[in-house]
Amino acid sequence: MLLEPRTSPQISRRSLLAGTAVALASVAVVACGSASPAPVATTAPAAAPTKGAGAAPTAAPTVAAKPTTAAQPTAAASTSTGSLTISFWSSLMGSKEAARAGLAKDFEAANPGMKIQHEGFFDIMQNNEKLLTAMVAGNPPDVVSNHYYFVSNYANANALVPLDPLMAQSKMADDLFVPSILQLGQWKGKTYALPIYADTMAYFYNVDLYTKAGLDPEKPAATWNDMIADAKKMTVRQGGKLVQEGMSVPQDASEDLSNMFYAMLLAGGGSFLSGDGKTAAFNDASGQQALQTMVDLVHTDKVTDIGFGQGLSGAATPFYDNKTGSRYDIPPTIFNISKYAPKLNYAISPLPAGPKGQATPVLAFEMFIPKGSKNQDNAWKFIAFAMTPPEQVKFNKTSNHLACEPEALQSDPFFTTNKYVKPFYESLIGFSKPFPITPAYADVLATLQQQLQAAVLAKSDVKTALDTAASYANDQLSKV
Amino acid sequence: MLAAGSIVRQMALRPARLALHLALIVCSLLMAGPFLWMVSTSLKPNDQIFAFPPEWIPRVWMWVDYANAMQAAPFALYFRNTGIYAGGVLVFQLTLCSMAGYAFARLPFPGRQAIFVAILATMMVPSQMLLIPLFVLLKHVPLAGGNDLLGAGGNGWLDSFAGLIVPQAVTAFGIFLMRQFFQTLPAELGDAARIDGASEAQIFWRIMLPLTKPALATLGIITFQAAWNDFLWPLVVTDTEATRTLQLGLQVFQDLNSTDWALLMAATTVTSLPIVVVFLVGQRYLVRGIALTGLKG
Amino acid sequence: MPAAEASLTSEGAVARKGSRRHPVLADQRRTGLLFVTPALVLFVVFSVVPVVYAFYLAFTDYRVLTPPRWIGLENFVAMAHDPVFWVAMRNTTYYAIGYVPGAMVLGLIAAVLLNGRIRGVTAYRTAFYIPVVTSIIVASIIWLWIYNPQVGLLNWALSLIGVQGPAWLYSTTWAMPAVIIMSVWKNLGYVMIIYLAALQGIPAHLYEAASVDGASGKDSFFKITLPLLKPATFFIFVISCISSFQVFGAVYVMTKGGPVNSTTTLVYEIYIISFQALKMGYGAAESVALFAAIFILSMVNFRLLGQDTEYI
Repeated sequence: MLLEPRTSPQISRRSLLAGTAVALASVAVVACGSASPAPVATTAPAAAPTKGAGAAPTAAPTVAAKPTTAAQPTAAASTSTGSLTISFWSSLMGSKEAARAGLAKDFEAANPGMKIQHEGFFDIMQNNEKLLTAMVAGNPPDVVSNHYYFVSNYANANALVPLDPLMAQSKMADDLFVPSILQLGQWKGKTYALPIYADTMAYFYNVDLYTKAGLDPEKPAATWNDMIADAKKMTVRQGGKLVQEGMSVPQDASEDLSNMFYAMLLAGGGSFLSGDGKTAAFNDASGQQALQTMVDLVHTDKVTDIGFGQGLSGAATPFYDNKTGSRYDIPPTIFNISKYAPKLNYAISPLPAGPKGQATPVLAFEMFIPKGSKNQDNAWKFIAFAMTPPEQVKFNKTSNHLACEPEALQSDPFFTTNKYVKPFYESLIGFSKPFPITPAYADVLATLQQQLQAAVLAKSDVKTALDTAASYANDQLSKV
Repeated sequence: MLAAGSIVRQMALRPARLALHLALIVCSLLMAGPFLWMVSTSLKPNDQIFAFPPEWIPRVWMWVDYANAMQAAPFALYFRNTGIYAGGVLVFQLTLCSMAGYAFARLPFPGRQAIFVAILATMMVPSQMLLIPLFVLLKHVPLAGGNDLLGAGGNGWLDSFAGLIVPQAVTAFGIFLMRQFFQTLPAELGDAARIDGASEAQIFWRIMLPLTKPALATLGIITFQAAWNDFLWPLVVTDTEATRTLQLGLQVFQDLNSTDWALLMAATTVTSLPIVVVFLVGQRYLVRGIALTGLKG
Repeated sequence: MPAAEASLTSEGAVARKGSRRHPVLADQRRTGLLFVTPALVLFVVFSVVPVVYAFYLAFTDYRVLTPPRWIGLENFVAMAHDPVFWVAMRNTTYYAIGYVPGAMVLGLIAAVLLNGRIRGVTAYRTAFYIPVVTSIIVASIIWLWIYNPQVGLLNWALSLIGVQGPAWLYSTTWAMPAVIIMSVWKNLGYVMIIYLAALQGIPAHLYEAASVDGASGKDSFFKITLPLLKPATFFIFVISCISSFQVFGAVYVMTKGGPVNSTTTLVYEIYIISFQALKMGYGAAESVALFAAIFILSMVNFRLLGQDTEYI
């Protein structure tokens, strides 16, 4: 058989233009169709444009019928339909799975007939994504639990049910909660979310390595200078290669990194935002000192090397393997160590004092009610139940976090005497300050983490890195 | 007989073959390494998982991890759901993409080129941007999930298999792939049948389609794997256990600060097996002798 | 060929104009529309509509939880002045240039080697395909270890030949190549099976005839195999370009765009802007820019390589 090439039609210029024209025309049609202002309901705006090409009626979902005047405290409650099944979306998975399941079971036992229907997201960003899509479409779940830093975002967009009136109804006083924790769920003076668990930061150190370096494990570093000196003593190199780091300094653009920076910023008397919350304050002298200390640990004091043991959070950290002298960390690590390195001989103490004394940041995971929920009465019932001291104790003992109420914390020796949890508890009660609270935080955080990383990797000097992050932050803060 | 397209066959010398096999083995280990590490981790006791640097042979073989993993959540249900989703998408895609691909390749209909360009163009927008509109679309499917004729009042196709499958039933990728393969088949193949009075549809069904078995096998493997491993779309569409898929189910082992690695690896290993099976079945069609036959001058 | 029969062949049909008098052409047109309609309907509803909506959002200030507000070209102006956008565009292009040839060449080599009847070919094929199946989380853990500057496999292997390996994911120079290598590893199985399918369509007798004429294996490959793989190569090239411009998963898990934005790609940036910063209008504008870039690139591809040839 002969080889005869035959050409089939090429994509012609005409059809190229035609295809583009079709696409652009559709844009024009849709744009014209939806240029009219969207309906008042703030949680269901996108319905009109997505009806596609043509004059579809602006059939906003029926949820728009629900009251948007959330100013009246009991209005929301009285018009909710009160289904017995409460839909609950949360990021309370993994180590918190058992605690959450226990909470749901207790609630169902105390309220026969009611059921908690749970959907879990281990990634807080996916939790956020899914909630946003549901809010836009007008059918969000009844109760959501997520990282506190989403709360101000949702609250600022008026997408959450204010909880002060409900708290008053249930006779729940503000002082039930540790003040620094309660703030995390508030925005512009109003409470939109209540905390289910909290984390502060503390200083973890390896007792064996401390002793080997000639240090007294009963007297861990009390100040930054001590911390740096101790870290240097615990740094071991063999043949020019680092085999043991004196202190772990995070080098990924991650929460670990920004957490450590923030903890040191606070210990230097600094703060993330100015008093009025309108400008960034973390690039002042105390911020620069905090970051410089971290940079020096890596490059001047050389207590660790670039890339030593860094990896996916929770995976392959040299602390588990007796290769790290000390690190800043949070309560869940206690759980991880007991599971993956049960023989590790380590101890925990409150963070060393900085130039302005001791300080620790605190973050929390919150529970809140999206406005579109059709079941707000029962949603509140569930949240109120989770806030009772016995449930707080149970939840946090099971999952290795801190309860958010002084009453809960003091009622159980787990928090006040357990040698690993006690330092976190003391820090919380003694000198904790909330992590930054602003809707712009999630956005600014990404940039800040990149700049912190640049400084730690010596790609940028401290002042430039912080100023770059601060100027971006100011931009975003001005748009809040 | 020479096996066509096989350079290997030309290497008659034994040392060359040995060298080839050695190279292939090394490459295979590199390629399969992470998968093997996953299996190894699933069988290690917890305190060995984070040995630094990592160790491969479990000190104690924790077969029980597999049982524990499968009991941590209703995985049997998730297997069934994922099977329905992936299987449904597979059937739709093989059917619709082959028909459409053939039309774009061999059947002149008005606007063919322009429509093809427009279809390809939709591939060029990041899927994250489409999540919200798709979600709202599904919610407002008329007469579904409690909706009235105008698509209001209920949940539409959300949290249903229809909602999972139908938006994925056809993809630009599948249409493009089949078009390319149909274009390699000579147009004259159907001539004898035309002379006998066969319709174009019969020509497609009886002559053209059977010759694209390798392409269908490849499209099948790719489609099934993409659906089986799909995380984002089921995340957005499903709400309840009744439709939850395996990838979502795997999250029960993870959270922000701690992951149950041994169980997660065990569960991931088990959930990967069906794709491997589909691959093994499909790749049997990627073998000489299945394709062009009977092309005489 | 007799005239009567000529009119019944597709050639004959095309040679004359007007389908009214030529049943074959009419049948082809009808069947074409019939075959394409179900796909098109689904397409318009579930692909075109969302895409068009996304384009609309590009001209609005859309904060997700509040209605979109029309602002015309403001987003595009801001984008033109946004250094992060241009860095992301540059990184994405860099990624595409590294990834596409790598994946195509290695995938082709794998397909050609594993096309024949060598022992264990199924096992090898499965091994090469397994990375596609391996979840990105699992893959990232191992690759993070491989790339670890102190104890990772790669630097250890380099040290054996006396080379001091770089800090890989902690180096602004080497982070992107590291991500590219991992992506090629992960996706070469796809390329391999598409080429394998295409290879089955090459008639055996062509190679027989060539070897009878004294052609070597190399000649056969370059003069027969490669040209006949053109439709597949074209397809893989377009698809790889499109997908490489949309790379997201690997970056999200391995580097989170770092260090210092050296691996921030466009889709990663769009995702962060849209869902973390809740500026979805701006994210949509960036998506439109991305779309334009890919569209232009694809049309150039079509122009240069769209000349489909078939051999009877």
